[in-house]
Amino acid sequence: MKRKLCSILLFITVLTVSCSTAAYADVSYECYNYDYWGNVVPSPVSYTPERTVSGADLGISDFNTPSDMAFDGEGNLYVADTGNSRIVVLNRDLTLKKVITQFGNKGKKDTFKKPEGITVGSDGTIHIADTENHRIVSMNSSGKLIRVFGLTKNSLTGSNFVFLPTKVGVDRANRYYVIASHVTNGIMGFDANGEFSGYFGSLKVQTSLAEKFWKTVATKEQRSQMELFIPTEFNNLDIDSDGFVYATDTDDSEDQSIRKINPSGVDVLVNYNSTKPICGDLSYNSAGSYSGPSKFVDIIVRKKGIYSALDSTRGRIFTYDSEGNLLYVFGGLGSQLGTFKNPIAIGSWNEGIYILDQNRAQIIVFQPTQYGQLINKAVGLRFDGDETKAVSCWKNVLKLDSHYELAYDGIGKSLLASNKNKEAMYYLKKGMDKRNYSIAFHRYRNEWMRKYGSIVAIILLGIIVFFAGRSFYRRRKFNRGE
Amino acid sequence: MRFMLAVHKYFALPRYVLVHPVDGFYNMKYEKQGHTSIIFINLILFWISYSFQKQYCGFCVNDSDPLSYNTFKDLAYIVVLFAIWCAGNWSVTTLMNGEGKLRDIAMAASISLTPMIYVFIPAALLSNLLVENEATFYQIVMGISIVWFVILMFCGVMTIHNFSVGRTFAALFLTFLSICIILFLAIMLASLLQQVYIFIKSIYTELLYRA
Repeated sequence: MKRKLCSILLFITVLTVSCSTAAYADVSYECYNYDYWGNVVPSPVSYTPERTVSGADLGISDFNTPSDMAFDGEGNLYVADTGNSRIVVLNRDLTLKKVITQFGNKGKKDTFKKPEGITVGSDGTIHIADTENHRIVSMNSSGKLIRVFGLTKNSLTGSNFVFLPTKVGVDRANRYYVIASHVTNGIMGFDANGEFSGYFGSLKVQTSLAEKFWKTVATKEQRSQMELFIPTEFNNLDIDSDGFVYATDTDDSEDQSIRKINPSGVDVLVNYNSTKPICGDLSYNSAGSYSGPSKFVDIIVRKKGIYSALDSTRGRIFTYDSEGNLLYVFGGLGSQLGTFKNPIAIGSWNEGIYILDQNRAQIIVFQPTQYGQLINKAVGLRFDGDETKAVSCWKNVLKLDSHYELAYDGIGKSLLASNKNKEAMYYLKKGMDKRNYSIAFHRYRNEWMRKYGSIVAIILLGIIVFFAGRSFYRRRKFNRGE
Repeated sequence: MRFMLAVHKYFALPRYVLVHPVDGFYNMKYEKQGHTSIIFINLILFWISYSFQKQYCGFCVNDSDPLSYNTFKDLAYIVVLFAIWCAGNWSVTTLMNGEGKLRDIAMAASISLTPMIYVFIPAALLSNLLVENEATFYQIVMGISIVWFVILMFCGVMTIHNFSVGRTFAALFLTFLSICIILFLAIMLASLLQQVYIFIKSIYTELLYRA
């Protein structure tokens, strides 16, 4: 009896193990996308968690509320370990390279105090937002200080303003873009010498007509009781290789919450899907746990115009392409591998996505599945304008996910380019691309009219002549009084 | 053939009303032209053409999500709106010394839908031949049918109640107000009934736990 039970148990174990090693990715979160109408469509898993890295794994003391991380050009990862006031540098294979706790400043030893932001320039220069020291520190890759600056008194900020830089970004011309606490005027710009040059990319306050009406009607006392309309603050930024600043804001409404700011401070983010704003989740519970709109806390610009944003409300990573199409969604809140407690920063190296979890003091590494790789590749080819090469990728995407609208659109566009209008119409219709469908249909209609137009005209003429003749004949008969 | 003739004769009144609204509605009320059943027939025809238009209009002009198509929901909307219109208009015009009876109001409203019944299906079929730039033509045609419907409705109210133009405007405005009131009361009733339901349900569960 006991043996029989044992063998059954063994059988079940083997069965479950062999099931779990099946080809599909079994992850602790749900992957989905939104279709043209905004309905949630389940999708295959795009990214799977590969491993986690904590301080103990590196052989140093654990991270303490780490806040930011950044990759340099060689794939070394820099983590701003805020609570321990140190910078931890990891090699590309996620082993410890070094720990930066101090640096030489004017011949004296200097340390960090709760640094919350870090970025690495293309030349390997490290820029640190040394928050509680109220300054920005720039050093070269070997840890030698290049520049350190704070905010000098000026007319743009008030006299009792305390400069608490939290995130920093540096473009190719060495201009600094700094996000500081309690600044609602936008991103603070500093020139290459660390001189404050003004605010950048301020968000406009939007008041509705009703609010304006009540403001005019209300008395002075009532007005002072009203909510102040303060522009939303930026909370994180990343700078792409062309010098555009991608910034996320703290505004938790359903509007666009990612900006792509050009050097003159204007938002130029492209979104061809007029019905779907770039705001993460389009549908969510309005009450209860994990409710409310997505709130982006970090953004990373990847290759070929792709960018990924990290949502802290539900711990999801939303990836968009340069045209504003949502490519895939993965991640979630929880305590299993691949889910987060308090995701705070996102990084990307090659195709991998790295998430820094502040509560768990861990870095979680995600790698793309075949599905994710195919999408990345196809979108890259599309970005380069190589629609025909992308077709085979899109066809493979459709094998894995027959609901992927962008794939149909990609195939349709390439068919359109090679003048196969009828096939293009089929794919563009499935891809819900009305603009290109119209082009394909217009061409197809012209072809058709050239072929059959004369026949149609003759038939129509025949019908008209027939009816006209009949009524003429009848009228004559009627007039004769027969 | 005889059946076709009967159908032709049955729809003589709506056809006449299309181009002679005042005369047509006058004949309907005072000459007793048209059968009362045309209320339901026209509503059903309108439902069919409306749902058809929603589902089968061309890809470039189609704005309805196929996942949420529900023709019976459309029917419910149409019937409820129609009923509220009749109730609202009747209650207002009775106070305003209108001459129309409930039957006249319902018939006039239903017959006024005729232009939309005629236009929706052909327009939807032809919209399949249009590209995005030409969608305006479709919208213009649809718009014309709706404006035509509004004109017929206006003439209908004016004729069956024997109102002047100004009085008709007043009646329409008050009808709109009464519709709002009816909707408000309906929503309030629904929420109150829900409260009562929750109350009874909680007593029931309490008794279950105590027993």
